[in-house]
Amino acid sequence: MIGIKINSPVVLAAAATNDKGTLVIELAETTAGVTEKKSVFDTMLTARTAAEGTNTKLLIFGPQVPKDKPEAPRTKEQKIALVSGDIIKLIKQLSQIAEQYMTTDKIDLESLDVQFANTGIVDQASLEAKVLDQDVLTKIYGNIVRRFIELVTPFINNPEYSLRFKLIRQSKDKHYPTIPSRYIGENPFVELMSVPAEQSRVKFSKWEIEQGLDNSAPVAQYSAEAKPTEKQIEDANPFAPQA
Amino acid sequence: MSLLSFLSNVTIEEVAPVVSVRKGGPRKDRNPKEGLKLRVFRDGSIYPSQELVDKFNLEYAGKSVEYGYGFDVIDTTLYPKFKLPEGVRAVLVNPVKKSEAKVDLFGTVGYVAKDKEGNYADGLTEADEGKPLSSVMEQGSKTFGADELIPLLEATYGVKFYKPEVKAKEATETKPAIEASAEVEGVEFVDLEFIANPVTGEPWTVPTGVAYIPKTVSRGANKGEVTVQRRENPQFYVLNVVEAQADTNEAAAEENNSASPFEQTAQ
Repeated sequence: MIGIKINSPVVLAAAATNDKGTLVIELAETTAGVTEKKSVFDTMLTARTAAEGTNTKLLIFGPQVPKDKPEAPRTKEQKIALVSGDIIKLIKQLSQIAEQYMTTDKIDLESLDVQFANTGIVDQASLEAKVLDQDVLTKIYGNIVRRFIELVTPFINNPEYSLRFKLIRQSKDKHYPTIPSRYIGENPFVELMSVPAEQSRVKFSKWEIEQGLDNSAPVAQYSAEAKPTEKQIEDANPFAPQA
Repeated sequence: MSLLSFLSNVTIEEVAPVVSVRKGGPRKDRNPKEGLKLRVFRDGSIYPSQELVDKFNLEYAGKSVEYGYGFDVIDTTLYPKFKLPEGVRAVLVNPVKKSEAKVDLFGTVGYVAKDKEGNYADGLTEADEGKPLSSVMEQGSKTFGADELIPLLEATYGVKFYKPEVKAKEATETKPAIEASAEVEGVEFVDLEFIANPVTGEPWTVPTGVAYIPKTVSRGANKGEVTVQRRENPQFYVLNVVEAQADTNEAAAEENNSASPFEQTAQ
C-alpha cells in the first residue's frame, strides 16, 4: 500500500484539480509493468475482501498570504519572502515529477508567461505590489498547476514510466503522507524505476529520519497528556521506601 | 706511473641490452593521429585525437566562459538499460557539457591565477589571468584513468597494462604505506575508438531524452558506492579497443578481435 516510505513501483494515476481548485496527485501501485486497477464491477464481486484502495491521493495546497501575528509582526518584505518561497517550493516539487517524463527545456512552470499569466506581475515592482493579494496568489498557483497537469497528462497510468516515489510524514503530529519539499535537489523524492535499486538516490535523508518523517505510526490519542513525574509515581507506590 | 695510466687498461665491452617486457618505447606520440580516438597510457593519462577534440568541442576555454564538452564513461554492467547480448559488456561514452556535475573525462582544468604571494608563474602575466593552464590535447590528467578507466578496460576488454615492480615502503607522516607488487607484462597504451550504432551511423539515444547515468562516488564517506546522475539527450558511443603496435613509432594499429558489443539497439 502506498504510504510513508519509498513507494515502488508506482505510476502517476491522475493529476487534476478538485472542486476547490486544489491540485490532487494520485499514485497507483504497479506490478511487472502493469498498473493494478480492477474494474468497479470486479471489485464489487470481491467486496468482502476488497482493499480500501491501492491508490493514494495527495493534495498539494497553494500558498496563502501569511497571517499577521501580533506577538511577532512580519514586515512586508518578510511576507513577500515567505510567499515567494512557497511558490518556488511548489515549482521545484512539480518540476521534479515532470523531469521523470521529459527534458527540462519542456518544463516551463517557472517562466513569466506561465506562473504570472493574467496577474499583472511583470517585474520586481509589480511583484511587490501584487503578490500579497490572495486572489493573485491563487491565480499564480492555478497557472502553475494547470501547466503541470498539461505536461504530465500524456504519461498518466503509463507503466513504462514506473516510479520510485518517496512520501514523508507531514509532521510529528500528523501521520499523513506528503511530498517532501526541503533540499529535494540534493535528496530527490522521485526517480524512474529504470534506475537500479542499489544506485537509487531516493532515500530518507538523515534529517528526515531524525525528525521522524519516515515513521508512519499514527499519533496516540492522548499523547499530549502530561506524564506523571517520578515523585508522583513514588508517592503512589505503597512499597516505596519511607523518607 | 702517471695518475691516468689506468686508462691504458680500459676496454669497451659489448653490454647485452636490457630487454624490457614493455611493449612500446618512449611517449613520443601522445595523441592518436587520426580518427575519433582516445589514447590511454598505463599511468592513467588520457589524450584525445585532434579529430575528437574538434568534433565534440573538448578544448578548454577561459575561466569565466561556459563552453565545451567532456565525457561520461559508463560501465554497461552498471547500466542495464543499454541492453547487450548475455555475457557481453562494453564501455560507453556520452558527451556532456563541462558545466554539468560529475563529468568523468576532460571536465576540469586549472586556470592561470596569482599564487599566495600574489605572483604569476614564470612566463605568465596578468594578461593570462583566467586562461586554461593546459590544452586538452596535452593535459593528460591521470586520476580518472588510473582509478577507474584502466581497471574498467582490463575487466571489460581483457586489456593488460604494463605495471612496473613496486617495492614495499613503510608509511611516513605524509604518505601511506605501499605494498609490494610484482612487475606485470602488458601494453604501454591502448587506443580507444568511438563506435556509433552501426545500423544508423549515429550514436545511441534514449526515447524520452532522459537518462540516469551510473556514477561511482570517488571521495568521502560514501566512496565506492554507485549512484546516478541525470542527463538529458545523451548520445552514447561504444569504446572499441584498438591495440597499439609494439613499436610506438609505427602509425598502424590492429583492430581488436573481441565480440561486438553493439548488436542490439539501446532501449
